[in-house]
Amino acid sequence: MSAEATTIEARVSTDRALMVDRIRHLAETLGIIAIAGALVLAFGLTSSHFLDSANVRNIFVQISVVGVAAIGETLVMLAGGLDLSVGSVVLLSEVICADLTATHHLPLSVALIAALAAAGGIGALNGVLVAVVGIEPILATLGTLLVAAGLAKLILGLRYLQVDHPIFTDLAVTNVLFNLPIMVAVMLGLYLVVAFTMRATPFGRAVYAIGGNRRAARLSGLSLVGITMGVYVIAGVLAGVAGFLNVAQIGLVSQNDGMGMEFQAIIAALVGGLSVTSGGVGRVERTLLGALMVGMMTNYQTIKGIDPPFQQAFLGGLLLAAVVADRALRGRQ
Amino acid sequence: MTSVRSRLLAKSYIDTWFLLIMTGALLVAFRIVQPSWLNGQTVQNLVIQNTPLALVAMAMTFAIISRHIDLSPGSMVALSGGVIGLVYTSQGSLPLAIVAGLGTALGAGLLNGFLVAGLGLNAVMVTLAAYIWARGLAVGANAGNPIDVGSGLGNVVNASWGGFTLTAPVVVVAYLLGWLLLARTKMGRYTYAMGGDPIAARRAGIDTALYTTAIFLLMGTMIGVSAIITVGQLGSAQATAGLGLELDAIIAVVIGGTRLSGGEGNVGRTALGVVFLSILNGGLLNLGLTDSYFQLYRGLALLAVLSVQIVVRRATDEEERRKREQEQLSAALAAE
Amino acid sequence: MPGQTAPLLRITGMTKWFPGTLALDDVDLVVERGTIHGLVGENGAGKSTLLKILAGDYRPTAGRIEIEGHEVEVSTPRRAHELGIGIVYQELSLLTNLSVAHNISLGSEPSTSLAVDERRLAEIASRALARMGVTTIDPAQKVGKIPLAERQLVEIARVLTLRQPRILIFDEPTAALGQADVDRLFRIMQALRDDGIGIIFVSHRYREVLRICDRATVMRNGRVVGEVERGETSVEHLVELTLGQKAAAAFHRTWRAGGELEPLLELRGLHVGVRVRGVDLVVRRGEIVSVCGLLGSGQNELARAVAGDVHDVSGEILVKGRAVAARSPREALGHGIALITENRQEEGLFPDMRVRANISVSSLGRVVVSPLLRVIDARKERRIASAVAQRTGIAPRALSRHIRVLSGGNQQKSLLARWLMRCAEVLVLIEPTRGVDVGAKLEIYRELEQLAQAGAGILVVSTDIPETMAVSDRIVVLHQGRVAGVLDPRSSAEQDVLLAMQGGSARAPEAVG
Repeated sequence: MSAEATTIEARVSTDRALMVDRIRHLAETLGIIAIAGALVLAFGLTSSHFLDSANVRNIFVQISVVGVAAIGETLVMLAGGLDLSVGSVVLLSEVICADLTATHHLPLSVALIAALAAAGGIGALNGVLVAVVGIEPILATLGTLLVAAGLAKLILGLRYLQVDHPIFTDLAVTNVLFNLPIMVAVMLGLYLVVAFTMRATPFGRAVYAIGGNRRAARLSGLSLVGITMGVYVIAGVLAGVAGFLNVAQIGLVSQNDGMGMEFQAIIAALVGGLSVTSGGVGRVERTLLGALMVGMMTNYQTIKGIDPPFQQAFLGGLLLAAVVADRALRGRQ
Repeated sequence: MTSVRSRLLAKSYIDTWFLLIMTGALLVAFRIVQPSWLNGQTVQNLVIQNTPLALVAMAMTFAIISRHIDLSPGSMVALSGGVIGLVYTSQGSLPLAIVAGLGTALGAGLLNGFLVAGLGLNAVMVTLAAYIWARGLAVGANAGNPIDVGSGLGNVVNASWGGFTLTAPVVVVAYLLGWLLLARTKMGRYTYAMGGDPIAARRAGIDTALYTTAIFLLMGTMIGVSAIITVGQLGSAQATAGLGLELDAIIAVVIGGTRLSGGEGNVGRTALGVVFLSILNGGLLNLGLTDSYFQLYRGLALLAVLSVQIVVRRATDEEERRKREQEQLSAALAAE
Repeated sequence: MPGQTAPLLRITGMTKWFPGTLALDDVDLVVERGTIHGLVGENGAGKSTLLKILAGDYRPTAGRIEIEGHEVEVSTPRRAHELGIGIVYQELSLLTNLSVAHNISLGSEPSTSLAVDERRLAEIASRALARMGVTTIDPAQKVGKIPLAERQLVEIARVLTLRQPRILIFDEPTAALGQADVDRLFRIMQALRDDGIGIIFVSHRYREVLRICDRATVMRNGRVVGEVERGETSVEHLVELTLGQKAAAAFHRTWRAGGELEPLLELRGLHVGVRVRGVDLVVRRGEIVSVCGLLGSGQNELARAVAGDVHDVSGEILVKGRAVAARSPREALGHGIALITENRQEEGLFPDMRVRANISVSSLGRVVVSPLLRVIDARKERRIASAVAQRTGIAPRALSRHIRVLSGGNQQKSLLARWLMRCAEVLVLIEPTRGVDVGAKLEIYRELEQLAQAGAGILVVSTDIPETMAVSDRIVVLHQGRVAGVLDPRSSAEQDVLLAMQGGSARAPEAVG
């Protein structure tokens, strides 16, 4: 047996490997688009109102808040972490923003900056606890969930704060894109920016690298602390932005805002195909698709008159289906 | 004598010492702020209020040692309670209702176990899904309203002997059982084995699917009992029962010194963790704080404890490593 | 054909496909009772896959297994145990968090109706250990606390407690053992053979194979390429069969640095924990320096210390004459020091990223549009990555595939390309050709030489002595954390290196450099 024969053999098996790899990758991408398309088709055929332009607008408006929060959650999960504090940070941002404008009559810009700073601050705290101190993400962010919710409720007390600044009304009402309001455009814009960042910047690559293999990322000279801090801060800031959008949509700030939103964000990411078995696999833009699928299901069930609690039960089922699909596509390790 | 002393001061007990000191500090702090708080009555109340936490944390210890986790207990307690309420309302039979409630909890445990062990899915995601669907069903069961179950169950659950209700012996029995299971049976050994190295465990011929399912069934049992107790204590099934129970249970296990990475831990430590968390929650509640301060202080306290725990652990790990290396070196030199 | 005529174990037509790789290609193997059967071959030849199929770890794509003439299906490890197949794994499969006794009986604990019978558990452990003549291990001790060589014995004791052991597989059991331990192990194996058990012995140490095996099967690239009887073969013959072509022997340095060389990396009195105790070493520009030693002599710790991957380092590390303190791999890279470890999967690759991204991950600063606009210029990235990939011999079309589907050799070349792109001046490699096929080995040696020629300094840690003899300008031998000798491969024999590794100094340690 000569070295030549060995090389030829190796090349044959490599070619086969490359082909299998390509097919699997294609199946992953097409799979989720096919499922989303099937949902649209099925819902459209069985409900005469589902594809109305007003209803489509509704779906987009309904998912915009969670959609924005889910961007940050996706980044954190891609880097191999988890952020349970998202919902609380949404509330904190809303409360600061509403309190400064409504109670203290400060200009909106000041309120926005303060709210984003607080949201980013909680994110930074998460980053320190996870990357520097070394607490498990699920526990660290549970702690900050309590801290952020506590702070927000401390400021809010038992009040309901009304926010009727024209900019907020504009966000929710004025149409810019087809018949979609500004807040939807904001969400889509953020997805574009972050998706680009993840694909085309060193930071994006580093997030994937850290999520994919922490040891290798360290030995490759990436800054684990810096990147981890980065994703948590971004997640915090985006949760803050989600808070603004929520205020714009509802016009009112109350104690229960944002509650459980971290789970909705996690579900959107998972339904969008983010892998939990192997970190560092997933795409931000697919999370949007996940959020849309969740939004469509909720909307459809509402049209069909299904009680919200049972809608939630179906959502649990959808999540399970996404996890099973992930396993089926990627196979058993 | 010295050997007892050195063993007590050994590294494996550092976590325990640390936790005892923290618990003591907490008690002293509450004692200073609220001198009247700590008395026999308080202890009784703490036991009564924290029974579901104690039971679920016991089973959670198994889940975490085996490198899994279960996020569904809180929702499942509500769902099982809801089933008890629904069956009682429609059939009028309390025993039947209790059996149905237990059956629901065990069935859910079996389902989770099958998905994790049989299909090899990630436990976090499977039980997160259950956390969501079970709560949805629990709230949907009676449109979010409580379902009355009469006073029959309450008479048993709330009956008091010397200030303690039936729940105190239930907790004690559960922990004895848990300790026996973990320390003395195959299931316990395999729980450690699967958490220490799942591949090695499989290679040793362990039926990992079977024992993983057994762990989720143990959790189902504890959930069922918690549901019965919760429904009995309140006289009705509440859709909001068990909110946050799973996270409290995980915290209790971790504060007890069991690591989320699996392979080590025991129920005794979890018991200490539950005591710590009960005192923290009870003491803060007793201060008459608003919801906001309660959450804020609780969050800060947990983060502080977890941070200090990690710092202490790092120091002891490092010392242990150095000592071991030194021993190996001297052994190698002696062999020359 | 059941009965006495049928062999103990007969494997026919065994084939195993992994996604993209044919790991086993129509393998036949017969093991008779009461014999020790050697199984030899390079890393990646398919031995481990074959063993794992026998152990119930993998399911074969095709092929049949017969035990004493009956076809069997080894569907799970549990089934393997029932059939009397026991395996002593190379990468020990003991649970360090459990006691010796628990490990020995794991999966088949004696139990009363409810509880594990701790007393019998201890008895079984003592008996199994005693059968091997081992009395020094305390069954109650946690496995994590006993030395490596003793763990090996626990692993063997474990397969002895099978209800009816028929076939025992030893997967490179001697790799981590000293001579006395090897002798003891062989006595145990011979006693087992005399009891009628069939033993499969996998080893890279051909002398041991010749010493203990009755027969040996040689594998290469997933196929059986030869079967030899004891007494009919020699080490050279085995080597030739396994390699097909001898990588190290086929490699000859064509270039060597000469003249006054600038020292790139200098270690002065380096200590790492208690493993490395005062090592002086110099790597000059254009040099390849190897560090050798028995397992645990401190060579890996030394390499990792240089690359900033371990704490507890004291002494001086100088790069181009300037003292540096690398507290992390990131800082070390800042000084131009890069590391490739022996553990490619866990410490090198990003399995779900493409080969190109794997190569460029450490040098993205080089391919951004501008320092202010930190956006990756895809064309620039493609150009530079392709250039370095070509230099290391990676096929251009592989660049856009996921790295996990490449062969071990191509993965290793990708890691070399990563540091090539980063322009690392000091390259530290631990076991650079582990799990790499012969052809790729040669290419990697060639590339190391070219890197040296291009002005890098290279530090190689390897336990493969022919390899270090072939590639390096100088061999530094460590023994228990100290330099036991510095050898010139051109004027030394393999035996000199071996002797120095055992602690006997081949010659007085020369002044370094």
